[in-house]
Amino acid sequence: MKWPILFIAAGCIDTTHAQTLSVPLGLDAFVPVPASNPLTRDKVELGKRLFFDKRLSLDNTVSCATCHDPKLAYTDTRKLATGIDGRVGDRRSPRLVNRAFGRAFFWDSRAATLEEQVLQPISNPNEMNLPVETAAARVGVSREAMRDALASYVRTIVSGDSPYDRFIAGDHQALNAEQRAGFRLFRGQAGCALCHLGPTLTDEKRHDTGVGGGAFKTPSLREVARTPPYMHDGSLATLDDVIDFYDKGGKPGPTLDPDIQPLNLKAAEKAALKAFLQALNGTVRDGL
Amino acid sequence: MRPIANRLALLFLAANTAAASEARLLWSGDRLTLQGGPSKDSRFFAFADPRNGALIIRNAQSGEDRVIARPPVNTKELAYFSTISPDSSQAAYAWQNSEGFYEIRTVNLDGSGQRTLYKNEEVRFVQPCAWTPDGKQILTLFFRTDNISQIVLLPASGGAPKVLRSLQWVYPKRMDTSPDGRTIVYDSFAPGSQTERTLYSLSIDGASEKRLVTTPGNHLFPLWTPSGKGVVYVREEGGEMNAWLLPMENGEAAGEPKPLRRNLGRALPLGVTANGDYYFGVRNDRTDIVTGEGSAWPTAFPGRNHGPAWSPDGKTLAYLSRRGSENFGDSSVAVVVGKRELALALPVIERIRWSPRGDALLISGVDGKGRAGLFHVDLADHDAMRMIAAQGGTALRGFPGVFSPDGETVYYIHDEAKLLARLVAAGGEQRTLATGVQMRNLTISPDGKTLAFTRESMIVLQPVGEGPPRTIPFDRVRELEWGATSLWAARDEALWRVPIDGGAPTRVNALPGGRLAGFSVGPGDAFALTVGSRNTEVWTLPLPTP
Repeated sequence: MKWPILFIAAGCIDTTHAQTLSVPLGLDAFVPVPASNPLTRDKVELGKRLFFDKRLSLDNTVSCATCHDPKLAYTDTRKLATGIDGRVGDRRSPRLVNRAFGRAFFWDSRAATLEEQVLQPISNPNEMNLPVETAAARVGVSREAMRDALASYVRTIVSGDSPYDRFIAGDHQALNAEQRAGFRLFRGQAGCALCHLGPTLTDEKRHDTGVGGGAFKTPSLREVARTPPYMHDGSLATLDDVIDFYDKGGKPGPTLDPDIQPLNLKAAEKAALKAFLQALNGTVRDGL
Repeated sequence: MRPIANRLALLFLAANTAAASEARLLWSGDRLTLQGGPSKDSRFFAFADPRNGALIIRNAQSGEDRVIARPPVNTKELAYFSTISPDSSQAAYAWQNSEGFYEIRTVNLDGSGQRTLYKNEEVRFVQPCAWTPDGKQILTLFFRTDNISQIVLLPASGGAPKVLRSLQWVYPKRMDTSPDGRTIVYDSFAPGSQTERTLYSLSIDGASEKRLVTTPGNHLFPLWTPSGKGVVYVREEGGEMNAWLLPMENGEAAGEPKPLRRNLGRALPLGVTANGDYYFGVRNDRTDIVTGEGSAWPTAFPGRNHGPAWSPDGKTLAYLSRRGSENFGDSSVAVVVGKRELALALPVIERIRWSPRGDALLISGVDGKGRAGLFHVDLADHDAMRMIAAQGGTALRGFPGVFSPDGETVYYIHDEAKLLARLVAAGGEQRTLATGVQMRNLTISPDGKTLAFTRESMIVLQPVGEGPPRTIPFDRVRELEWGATSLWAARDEALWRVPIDGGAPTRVNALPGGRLAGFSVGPGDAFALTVGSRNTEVWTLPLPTP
């Protein structure tokens, strides 16, 4: 299905009725929004249409949603991101949930804001491979309007209200005994919470965890259990593989983060950790 | 034009001239703590009794104290921070429970109707800061096991907390709700700083946040004035804690801050009453180190030193020294070795032990990632620090540890539950010597064959090698040291000699000022003791009406 041509000029977008994003249980009520791009219903709706619009790619075959599927917490099942003509990139498509709270974007943290980030995949030769100005013209909006609308829409994609969130909110029964044991390992002996912390479960910093290729940004673990494969290169197929990888202390290297150490977990501890990670699946929603 | 410091001094001179005579000392003593505050109607003052952990409500007119929450005897339960509801009918307070973490409770001011509002093992520290004016919600600080602090609204009638704002490990030192219930003020690090705080306002629904001051320096403890047209706060300047008033309008700064009063002392602001009295506490605690027959050890910061540790040759003393003008928490403690201050990235430091060769220290503390544990500092290698053992997100206390006489092994107590031996070399193997609960205060015999630690109401003598442990019944021990000829314990602000071959412990001496915070036994049973005094004052200062 093709979207109708939008014909919305930048000046026609309503920027005056700033909206507040309602968040699910577990996330901060305070959602950082840049003063230069307040959330409005019009922008978010435009951003959503653009997110699914394949005209933003050179051959009209790829949209943002091709790699960031809402049914999969806004990622896909491929090991590495795949763009037009089946071109394969060198990194996995990240989940896009809770990016409103992000402080660094892309695996290598090269963008500091969503506004800096959202247009780059459009012009990336391995992704959509279309000059941004051309893409904007195709859909009838200005470059700036496209940027602000896409950033606004992505800002509304949130995940919360998981068993983990309900447990933190005081419902002790929201996690079973194995998951609670896994939680204790997660923030204790296994040291996961040294990087995966807070409501977003990421410190937004780059670490070399021994996967290869240097340091990469800590991904959020929200919705992690239902979105394999894992790591920035998609090299680990299952959660069990990930737990085994960290249990061994990663691959040695000169820049390996000193917090990555062999864990020597028992089988039951690994199972508990996995059970806890499954409790991070919650509700994903978008829009205002 | 005068330098800024001179102009500030003149501003404060004018401010103090007007206000100095009006500041009033309400109470002083060693029993007051500063984790509570006044009721809005000035009738009551809440605080926790340091002797037994009870929550006390003082009647401001009669001076009568009433216990409204009392911990069971011989438990680690205790009351901590508290805040009184706007109608003076209830108090919300933090309670350290029998499981060792804090929960939020409420109780009527007559002691009835106690209930737990929030309890979660993964949110181990909670601090109620203020009620909303309608009395329906309690503005609360959560400090989670993943080292994140959160600004939270907790329904006073029960129910899920609403998280307004998550911050990194830094926690606001004070938060307050505006009289119209629409805006929260709090302090937190300024952007890009890890040392200087600034002030923020946050709408009660979390929708918007504003930075209130942009001046450099450390800005702390914001509290609303009764009219809602100002925020009074403390700014740390040149080692002094100065009070400032910031005009406010619609949740935003509405002008430049004005100086209110200079040099509050080592102050902790406690609240503002409806009639405009600004309550602040001043802690005049002193701790100093004495050696031998009571001679004071010379220090750069007199009155702020504790936790001495003699070097193995008895020639050098290492000790802990508090820094900063404000007096809230233990987050600013320096390690001094001889006359040299070490630059260690440890927010919490509790105890120092020397290596047998005197070339390294074992430090019990908490690192910047919130890991409580034991840290090895190599004095011979530019004070290089590495972690010997740690536990993420469990406690605010480090692990007690000692070296073996050959310096090859470290013995330590992990999370109060396991006594372990670990080779000092990186990646060295580890073995468990004992397990239990409330295991604390580790020391080792001079021959290295026996470890001593406290467990509940006992001193346990644990052979390093084979053999069963022995126990000596002796409760309330706060520290333990093995000297050349005997085992020594700090208990009830006095030093005790504890025979290890039978016989009752004997009290040796009480300490000047009735306070003991760390001691060390050097070669030939040469002592270094921390002595001091505790005195807390509560003051009020009338705020100018806008």
